[in-house]
Amino acid sequence: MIFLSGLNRLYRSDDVETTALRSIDLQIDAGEFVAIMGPSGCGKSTLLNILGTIDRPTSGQYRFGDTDLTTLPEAALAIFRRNHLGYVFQSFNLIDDLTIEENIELGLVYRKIPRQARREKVAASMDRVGIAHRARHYPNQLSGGQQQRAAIARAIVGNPQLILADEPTGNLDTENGAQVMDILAGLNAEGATIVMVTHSPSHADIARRRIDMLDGRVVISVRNAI
Amino acid sequence: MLSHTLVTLYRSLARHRLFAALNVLGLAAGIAVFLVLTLIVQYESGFDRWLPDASNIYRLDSTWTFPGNAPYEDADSTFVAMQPLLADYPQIRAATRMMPRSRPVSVGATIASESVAYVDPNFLNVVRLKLAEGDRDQALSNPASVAITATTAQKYFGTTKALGRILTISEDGTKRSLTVTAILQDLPHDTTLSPINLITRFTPSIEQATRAFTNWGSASGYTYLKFANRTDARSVQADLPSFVARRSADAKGRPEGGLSLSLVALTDAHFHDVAVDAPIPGVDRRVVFSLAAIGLLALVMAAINYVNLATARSDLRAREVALRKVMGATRRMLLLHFLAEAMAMVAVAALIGLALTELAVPVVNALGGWAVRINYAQIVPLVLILVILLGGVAGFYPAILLAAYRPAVVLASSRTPSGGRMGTRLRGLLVLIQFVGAISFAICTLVIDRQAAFLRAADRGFNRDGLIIVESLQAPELVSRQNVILDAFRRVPGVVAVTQSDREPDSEDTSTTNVGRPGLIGPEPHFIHETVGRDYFHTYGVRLLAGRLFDEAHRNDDLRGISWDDRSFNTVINETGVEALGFRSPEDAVGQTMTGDSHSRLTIIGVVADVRFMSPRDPIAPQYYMYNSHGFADAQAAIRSQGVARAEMMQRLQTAWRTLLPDVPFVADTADGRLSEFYKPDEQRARLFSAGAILAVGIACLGLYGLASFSTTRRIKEIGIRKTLGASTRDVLALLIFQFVRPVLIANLIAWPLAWGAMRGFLAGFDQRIPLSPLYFIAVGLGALGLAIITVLSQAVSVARAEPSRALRYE
Repeated sequence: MIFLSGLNRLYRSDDVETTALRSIDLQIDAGEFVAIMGPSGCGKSTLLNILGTIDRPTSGQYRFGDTDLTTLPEAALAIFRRNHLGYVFQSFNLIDDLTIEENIELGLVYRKIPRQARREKVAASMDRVGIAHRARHYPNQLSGGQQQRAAIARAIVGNPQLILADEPTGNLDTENGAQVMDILAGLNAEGATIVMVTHSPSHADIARRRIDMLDGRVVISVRNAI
Repeated sequence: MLSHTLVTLYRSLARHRLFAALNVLGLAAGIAVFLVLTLIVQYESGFDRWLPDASNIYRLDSTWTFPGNAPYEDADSTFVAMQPLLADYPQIRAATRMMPRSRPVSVGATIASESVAYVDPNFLNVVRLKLAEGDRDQALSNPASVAITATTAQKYFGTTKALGRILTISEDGTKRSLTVTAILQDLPHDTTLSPINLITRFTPSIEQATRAFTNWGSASGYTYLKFANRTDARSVQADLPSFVARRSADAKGRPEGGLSLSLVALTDAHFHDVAVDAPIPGVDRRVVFSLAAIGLLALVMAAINYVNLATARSDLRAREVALRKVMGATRRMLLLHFLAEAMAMVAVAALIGLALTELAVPVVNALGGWAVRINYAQIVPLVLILVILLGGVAGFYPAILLAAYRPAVVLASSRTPSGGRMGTRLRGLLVLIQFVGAISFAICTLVIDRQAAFLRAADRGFNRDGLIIVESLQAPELVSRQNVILDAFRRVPGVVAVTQSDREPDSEDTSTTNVGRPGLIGPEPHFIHETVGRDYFHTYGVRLLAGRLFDEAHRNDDLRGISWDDRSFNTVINETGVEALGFRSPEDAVGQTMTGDSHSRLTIIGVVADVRFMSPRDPIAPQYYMYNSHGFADAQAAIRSQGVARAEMMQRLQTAWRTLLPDVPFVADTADGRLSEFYKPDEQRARLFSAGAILAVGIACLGLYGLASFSTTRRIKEIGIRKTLGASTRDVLALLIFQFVRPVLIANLIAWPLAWGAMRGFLAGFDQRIPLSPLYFIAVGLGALGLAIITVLSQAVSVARAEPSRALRYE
């Protein structure tokens, strides 16, 4: 489903050039659950951002199915994101001024899905992660665990082909972290493709494949025993 | 999508109430100022436009040019000119004349002095005043018919259904009955026509008694000409000099000296009349332009505020924008989202602004003497256009800035892109522009206010306290009884001095004549000629500078005692007259002779200080006084009282008048009341500008607050580092305050020369004026600086006092 070949990402400021990714070649198949690990600054989040099309590679190719995303214009990438991707962040990134229900609904609004259909999808999504009782609450009225479950509900509400999770348990305690991982594992079991950046080896073990990165390169890619 | 945008906006505003209040109120204030000033500009520009075909009706003005004097334009013109104009210029479709006079009018026991317009029979067909009742073509068909306004009808007949009713008018002692043939709607405020309560036709006796019907050098009223179009009017205007030369020539072929005629379109007259002796004072077009400019400035400042406050909030919204992008929003969607937000915000502000306008209009009318009304059919489309334009313009930059956030960058750290150095500079520039506007405006306001106060208190050469002018004395039939009436006034308790003269404060008529003296080089200067009665200088409190005042013991002092054949009189001149005649000093002038009207020989017996009866803008003219111990034409009485309240004194004088003259209405006013017309425009302007300046400074401070809140939040980490390295709270405070007030300091440097240029021009228009002191500039500069410091202080203090560890954790 995902094909990366010779992917590089350089950041240039006035007189400093930083290489975040170097010659990444990677293939991720549909239904995979991939955990990316590595020390800070190794390029995990950059890779995830490029996979999520909110950052562009400096060179190399990123194909999603038959589509070469590296050549698509900004507006087309936005449409791609709303139709194919779901994103989960370490710091939840829910919009403070919207209720949980409205936060989850946001991507569907941009997809111009009719209100009634939106409501049904949102309700199903909330049920799936167990926060339906918090639908009318605002993010600051929820615990961290609940907020992250809401963020997951937002990521899955549009039935995306790919879920990207950037340290989804990083801001959570052990219990809530475990709950979130259960949900992600469940989603994967139902067929969702997930790419997750994590620092936690135990959470990485839940994934089917683990990729270790160092200095912008993929150094190890191993499949976990299930 | 739109409802989603509005919901987000509402929640966001509800959560950040202070921001919302600052932004919406700033915008609302700017919009209200703009709307109010638009209404005023519209009012000032709309004079006489309510009259059908007003743009093709022209007033014939006369300009008098005499050696040594500036040309003097009068809205009056000679009535002789009309028939020759009609004969010579077929372009003139119609012509009509109007002579306004104050006349006693009575119905039963109701008697009062009314503004009567004597007109040609076709007047209502040329100047098509609106009729409430009656037939326009028949209204003035009969010499004994009269058209009256609805208010006049109500006053005399208790109803506006007064067609066919009879009223009596007193003309120089002769009473005439007139039948009401039409009811006019009251004249609106926005007209250059002189006040009209009644309209009736010229009578043969009036035509005989009025020199303007026979003499090219006299003017007693207005001539209106109607053309088919502006081109026709221009062609006649171009030929008027040769018309005057051709038609005003006497038997020896000499045209009327110093006279030129010109045409003024009624629709231009209000602006034109600023330097013209017209029935309704005109307004300087520049004042109206400056009001329009202030209105636009208010809008620009409000828009700048929106930009500053919206970008200041970008910190709070960056994450939201990034999220929306991750969720699939395109840049275009976000641009539209933020533009829609801006427009919604402006729409809310416009509603509040409209409400503020409703509240402000009566206040502004009272402050500025306008009769402005809100016409919703006009103002609602204007507000809608404003919402779209202002929302579009003010929302554009924040929308571009916000929509351009790159989600990966924003989500990777809590630091928000600020629009770069360009963005910072732009915001600083916007605040600078606001303060340049506010400071120059405030300086102008201060100068205008001080000048108005100075004029009010300025020495006019006579004592205005307790001085009452009785206009009714000038009725021609009372000339022989003037001294009896004045004696009756003298007996009124509280009266300390009484006199009469044919010039008085805000005098309607001024007669001038050229004066010479042996050995005078150059053209003879024109002197104002004023006839005065007993105790004149004492009553008015005019200072004697040299020589003596009139004294009946000297035979040649009193016009009454001298045969005109002698042509030798004593006169008193003013200080400017001394200079005009080339004497070295007042003392030098005393005992000298000069030649006056009809080759009369005038011996100067005294010199008095200059007296200013007219506008403080007009230069003082040279003047000579003649004394007449008996009654004389056009005399009004001046009465000085002491120790009695004004209303009470007015009552006592009226009682004394009624006892002697029950049939003649008593018309009187205080000297201050008569002069107030001269101060009013400047005082009104000062008040309006003060209100505007306070708003402008307030709006500018809002902008500064936005800028300060933007940069303080961005500098929290820097301040933490500075404090960790040893900077004290005071050091940090000084650093922040200096940074925030720097635009205000620079704004002063730009605003001062701007204000100086504008105010130098303004003050040059006054004969009496204050010096343009640097103190005004320094005071406003310091005031702006102080306000700026107060505005940013709370934010600067809270940031400067923050614990370094907290500040460092911020990012």
